[in-house]
Amino acid sequence: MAALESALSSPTKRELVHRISSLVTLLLLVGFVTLLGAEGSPVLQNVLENGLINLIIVVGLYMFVGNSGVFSFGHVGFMAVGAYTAGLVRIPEGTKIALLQLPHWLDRAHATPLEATLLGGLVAALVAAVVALPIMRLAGLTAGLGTFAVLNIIYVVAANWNSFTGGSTGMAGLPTTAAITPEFSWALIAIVVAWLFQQTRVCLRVRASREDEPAARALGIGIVPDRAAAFVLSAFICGVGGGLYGQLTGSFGPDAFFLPTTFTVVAMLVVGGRYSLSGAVIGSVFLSVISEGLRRLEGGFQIAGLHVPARPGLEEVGLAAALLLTLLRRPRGITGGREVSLVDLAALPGALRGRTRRPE
Amino acid sequence: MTTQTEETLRAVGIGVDFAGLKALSDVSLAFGRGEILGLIGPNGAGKTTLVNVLSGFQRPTSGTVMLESKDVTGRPPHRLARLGLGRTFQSVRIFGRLSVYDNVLAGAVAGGLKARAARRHAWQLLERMGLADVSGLQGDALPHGQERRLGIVRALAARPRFLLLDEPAAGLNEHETDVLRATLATLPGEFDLGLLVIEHDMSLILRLCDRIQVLDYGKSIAEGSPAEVRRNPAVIEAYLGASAADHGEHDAQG
Repeated sequence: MAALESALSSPTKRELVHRISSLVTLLLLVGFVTLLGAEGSPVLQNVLENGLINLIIVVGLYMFVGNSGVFSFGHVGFMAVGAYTAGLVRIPEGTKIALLQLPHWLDRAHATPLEATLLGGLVAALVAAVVALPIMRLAGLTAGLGTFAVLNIIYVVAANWNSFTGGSTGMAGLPTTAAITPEFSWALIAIVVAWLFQQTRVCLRVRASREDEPAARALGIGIVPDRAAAFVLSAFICGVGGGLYGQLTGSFGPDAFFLPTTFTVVAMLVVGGRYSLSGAVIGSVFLSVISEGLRRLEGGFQIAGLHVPARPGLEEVGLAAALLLTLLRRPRGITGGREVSLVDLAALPGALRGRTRRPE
Repeated sequence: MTTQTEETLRAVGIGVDFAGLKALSDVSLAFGRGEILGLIGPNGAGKTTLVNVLSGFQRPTSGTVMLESKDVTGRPPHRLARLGLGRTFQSVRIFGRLSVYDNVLAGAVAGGLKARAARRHAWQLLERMGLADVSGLQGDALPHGQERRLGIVRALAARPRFLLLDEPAAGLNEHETDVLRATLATLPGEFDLGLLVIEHDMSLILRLCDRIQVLDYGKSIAEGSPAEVRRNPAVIEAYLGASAADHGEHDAQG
């Protein structure tokens, strides 16, 4: 009885409070940023919508990479699957007949924007489930290369399956809306889903396997099935992000889902800190702001009466520099692999003054 | 035989070849629930290889492993673990970036407990084994002694019926070793499990174990009570060399 009482008191309860306050903090952060951006110009709003989609992809990527410790360069491929799936059910029938050569039933297939987004997630999850079987048996760098192969396969299929994807020109004609609601809602949902997953037993087993595979196996953890579950769920979130992307831009080609995007989301996750959900969220917000700033400078600018000419590629170079700097100076990213919460931030000045933390 | 077949972990005629090198040849071993068996031998005698065979990390070239009268030879580690076989590692292998509590919770969850029951079980074990105070720390922040203890608690959390401990006292000071011995002695009765202990600390082994089995050069050279083993000339020779065998009546500790 005494044991039960203490189970309900100290560390476990404190830990739960910390986890919940961390979730609330992340939701507030995204809400705050969205509120700021939504008041701005249409251009800024568009930037914000793209930023929120990036955030969804990064959170999806984190669910697998952060928890399993296995790097993936393939998740932008799942984003592509989501986008193309949304295209197939959102482009008006006439446009589809003109642009693509689909089976009759697909020409007639039609869905609401929400259904299209969900379907994008589901099809991406399905593709992930198929590739998970071989990929999850690999470990470490080999697994990373395996996921890179997945990205390439999806890219090549998207670029060449002309009748379904529009080949290298891609898809066009998806109806778009100006509302930011879908991106914002899904960003919040993605964060909540990733957080909830983190509270499950599957996720604890995946994290234990990340830390030490033999020790995990000795406890009875099979590794492959749990890791595959995390992979499929994270692909679902990326598929949703892709579905939203397709419906935001209205037209896209295979190049939208290849190396530059992969680099961007990987950089966001690593810079933020790939071992915590806070890292995924903070990294994507932080780098979205930086890359938008750099993009504006790319066109050339005036400073103190001096004209600085256009510097194309400044954004990519800036991202690469941020990634390198992180890898060198703070390999675990801004958050250092911890979950961040406002409660911690409030306690920060005292902690810094008192230096109560044990040295690492 | 002191133990009943249906409550025993038994290895029969185990042989392991590493590219022609015989790491183990024709080794048999058995211990039952409620019993503590010590496995000793000089470095390179094959003790860890035998534990790896028993726990599924090493497939034997010959021989069978029977877990409670079920042939489990060659099954993978996680399947054996689910059948009730737990182990620790010489190098501990703590989940460094998980909290101490999550380390133990992972054990409880891997052992098949539902979320609520797993949390309660993990917390009870942490309190019982004296790690409750550090439960919020990261695994890699623990000092060595507590880290080794956590390795054992994590294995216990999966509720094994047979637990194999690979050098649980390595790197511990004298006091820590005494505390560890007292803890280990209570495990078979308290958790209804059989315990196999590999250890170099001879005084720990002699005082802790019900029976001791001795390996040398991959072969089993002696088996019996601590008193029998410490008087056995073959054991003394293996440990101290032929010249010391004459002074065998003094102390096998050397």
